[in-house]
Amino acid sequence: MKADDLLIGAVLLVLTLGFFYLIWLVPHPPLAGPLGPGGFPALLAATLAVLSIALCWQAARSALGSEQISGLGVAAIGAALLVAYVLALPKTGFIIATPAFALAIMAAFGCRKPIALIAAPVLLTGSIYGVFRYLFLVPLP
Amino acid sequence: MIEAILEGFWYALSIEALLAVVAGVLLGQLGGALPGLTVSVTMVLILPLSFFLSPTTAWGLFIGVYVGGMTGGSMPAILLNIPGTPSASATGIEGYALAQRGQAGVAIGTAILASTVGTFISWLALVAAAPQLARIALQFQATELAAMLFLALTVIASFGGSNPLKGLIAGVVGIALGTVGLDPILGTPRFTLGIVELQGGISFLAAMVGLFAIPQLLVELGNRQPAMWTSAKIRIRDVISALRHFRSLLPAMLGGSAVGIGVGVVPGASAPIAVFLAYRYLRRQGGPDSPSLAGVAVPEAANNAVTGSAFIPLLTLGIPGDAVTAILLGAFLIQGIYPGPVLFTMHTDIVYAIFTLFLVAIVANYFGGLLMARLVLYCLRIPREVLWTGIAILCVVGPFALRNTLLDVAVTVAFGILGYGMRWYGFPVIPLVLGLMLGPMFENYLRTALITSQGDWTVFMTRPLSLTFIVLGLALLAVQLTRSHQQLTSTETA
Repeated sequence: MKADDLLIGAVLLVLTLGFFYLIWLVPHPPLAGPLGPGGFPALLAATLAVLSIALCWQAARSALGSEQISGLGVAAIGAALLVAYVLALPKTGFIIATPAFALAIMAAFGCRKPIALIAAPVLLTGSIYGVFRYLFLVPLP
Repeated sequence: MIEAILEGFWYALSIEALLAVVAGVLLGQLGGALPGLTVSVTMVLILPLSFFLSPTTAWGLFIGVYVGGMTGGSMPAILLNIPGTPSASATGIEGYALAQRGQAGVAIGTAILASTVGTFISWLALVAAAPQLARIALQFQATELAAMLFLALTVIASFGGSNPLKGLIAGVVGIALGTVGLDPILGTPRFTLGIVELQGGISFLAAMVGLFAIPQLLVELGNRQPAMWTSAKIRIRDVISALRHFRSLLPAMLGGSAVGIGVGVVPGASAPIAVFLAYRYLRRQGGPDSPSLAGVAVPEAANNAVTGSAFIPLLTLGIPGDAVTAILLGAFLIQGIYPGPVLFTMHTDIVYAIFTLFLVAIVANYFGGLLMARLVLYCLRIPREVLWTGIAILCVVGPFALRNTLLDVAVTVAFGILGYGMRWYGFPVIPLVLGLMLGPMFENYLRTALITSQGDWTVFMTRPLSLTFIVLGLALLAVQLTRSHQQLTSTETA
């Protein structure tokens, strides 16, 4: 079944790419607002891509054993998260993008405690924002 | 207000509506009693009828099926130890043992009595809580509504069973499919592939018939068991004799009802969870020696108590808690009625008609149960191939009748194959259905909130209620995914 999950994850990823292509074809009329007709589907496609990769990862991990793929896999996830964070910053702002990124990166580091996964990103974001915004007077996005 | 309430009662007490409730209860009891058919499949099969009936009559039918189906499932559980619905699983544990001792009649009578009491108590909870909750929810603006739907959509991960990731994927695919058609703000066509009929979006009815009925049909095709047979004799006198135990069973029925109400109000926690929680509680408390009538009364009161309380989030917030309420939400939307707090101000008559129909269904369920207790012995002998061939035809005719277009039939078949594939590979179907229905509302509120805030995403963080919903949703997701990861790790270690 794990091999099936790997295959399904891969198929979903290909379908998600097709979905991105269809989103690209959706007209974006002027005065479309912050999220145009294609904006919400694009968010969904991005979420689906992440979930498909997670399914592949879960299946591969079960099939191959965690040690075989952990090094390269975590590095790839870390890189993808960084790219996503940089892309999200101007769109969502620091206050939203940072806790989400912090939560994801902590999970990638192997943290599995729900309280830590929620408290640490919130505290980190708050303190960094406070220091830069009010101490260094640097306006964060 | 009073006028609208009286109008609702008047609609509900019309001859057509009363007949619809009785027909619904009997259909539901039959659907619940025939293993494999289930309440959800029965409901999607009658869903096309809602187009040809007045809203109140259609609602009478649906509520009847819901209440009756929960009771009907107990009959094969007691007679054959084969629960007609998953929510009757615990009933068979002691009910079948009683039937083996020649007490099938009184056990079925107890199940009907406890179902009636459970539904009545949950109806009281519905009538008392729903208007109050709707009053609070009326204060919500687009920001809170979007955040609340985000929370509801994160709950769908819980339908993923041992792998919440699959529940999430199914949910996101459902929301994505819900974006087909005209976009809710500007009316721009999206993903319609040039097909004009798709501009109205994917038909809920076609999708639900496909996802619920066709996979079950395909499973039944591979089932080579003959029709079920039992030598048990049921006398109506024995079934009615359960009333003599009413007083001694009352604490058990009240306990079961309390658990059912508590579970039913939580989206994602469905009747099977309620019955096992209630049954386990009874046995942990010591209870009477097994098998006992209390062992039948507790799970039956619990599963029927879910019906009224599951209506609370459905009517007040527009959030369905399980498969059946998801289908009911679809029925609402098909009739152009959007459940939510506004329903209580704009359509007060409909709300009170539903409350009244529920009460009528409770009475009909008791008397219908007495009738079905004997009839079920004959119904269980219907050859499986005859029953499912009829259902196969209904799966095609029902969606076609909706708009007289074969496109809806094609959609039904496509969703049927998708649903079967999902079942085969361990993906839950309910998140997909919920995503399909709640997705467009979520997009609408999200974009409205962003337009109001001029594109400022922090609006979701600066409003206390919205922030609470989002934090709760994220916490729920984190807990679900952590649990999934822990299970995976423990399997690997083992």
